[in-house]
Amino acid sequence: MSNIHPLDTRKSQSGEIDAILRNLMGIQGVSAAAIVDNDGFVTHIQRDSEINTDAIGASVQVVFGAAARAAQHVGHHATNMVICENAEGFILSTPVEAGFMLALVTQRDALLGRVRFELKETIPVLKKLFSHYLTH
Amino acid sequence: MPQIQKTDYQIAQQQILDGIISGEFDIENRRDLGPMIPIRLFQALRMVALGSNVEDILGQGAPSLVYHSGQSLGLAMGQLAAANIDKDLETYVGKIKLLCRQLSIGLVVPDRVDLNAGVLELRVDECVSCAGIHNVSAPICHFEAGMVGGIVKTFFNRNVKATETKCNALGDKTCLIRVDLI
Ligand SMILES: [Zn+2]
Repeated sequence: MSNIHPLDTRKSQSGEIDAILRNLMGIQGVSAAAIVDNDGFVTHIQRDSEINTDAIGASVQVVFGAAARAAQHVGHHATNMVICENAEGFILSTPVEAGFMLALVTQRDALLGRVRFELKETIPVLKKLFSHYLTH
Repeated sequence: MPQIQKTDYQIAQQQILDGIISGEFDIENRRDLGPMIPIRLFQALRMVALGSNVEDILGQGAPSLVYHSGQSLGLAMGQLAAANIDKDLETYVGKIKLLCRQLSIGLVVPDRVDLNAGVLELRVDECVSCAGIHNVSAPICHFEAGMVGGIVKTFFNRNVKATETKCNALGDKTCLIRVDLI
């Protein structure tokens, strides 16, 4: 189903990823920012309140996977972002590298365009970091 | 407070886990056929229903679902094994080995336990999911990895990440699961 791309945990814990997530938390309305691996495991997280990381990690991967599959059925082949709009806010998820995902949770007062823009700016930075962290 | 109603799957899950915990393998409504099933039927459920079919719908989300499912079973098994053992790791592992043998999941053998480094490696010999499967390109026992992760997580009460690093279906003769305590 998937090839193994384990994170070099020592290198990846060096704080650079956490710094990026903290930066994203600075955007208005963002209440959690997380990196999820291809098994749905949350490798890094910054959050305002308690979250069941096991459940959210798996859900983020499942929702993104299902949305990308649905997109394929209508001839869309490169899914860059999945946005889940809820009464209380949004969940946005974006692929990083080798099955890893960046997920953001926002409150209702977040400006979606701003969050999307920042997310898109962040992905290339994360991709570059991950290319160092992934042990091939 | 609104009462949370269990879904039918949750009701069935409870009965199945209760059956495992009771250690009673006999089962009603199977007077002729009994409690055992051919391993290929289990593999059809695991690799088709919870494998390629899930992958058809969820794409890259499939391994997460499978891992999460295995972890749920591992957490339940862990709770069962952790009862009345006074946090003794050796007794815990012994009970898990016995349970995995009774359920025919596989023969669990601790390969490396380095608590200082926060790493445990457990072999699953004769793994039920991938026995008789060959020529895959990567380890395919995400369910067992999740299960072992759940078992270790219960004992240490820590976040863990379990990864299958060797797989019988890759030609490794055993499945090796590495668990990192986070
Ligand atoms: Zn295997």
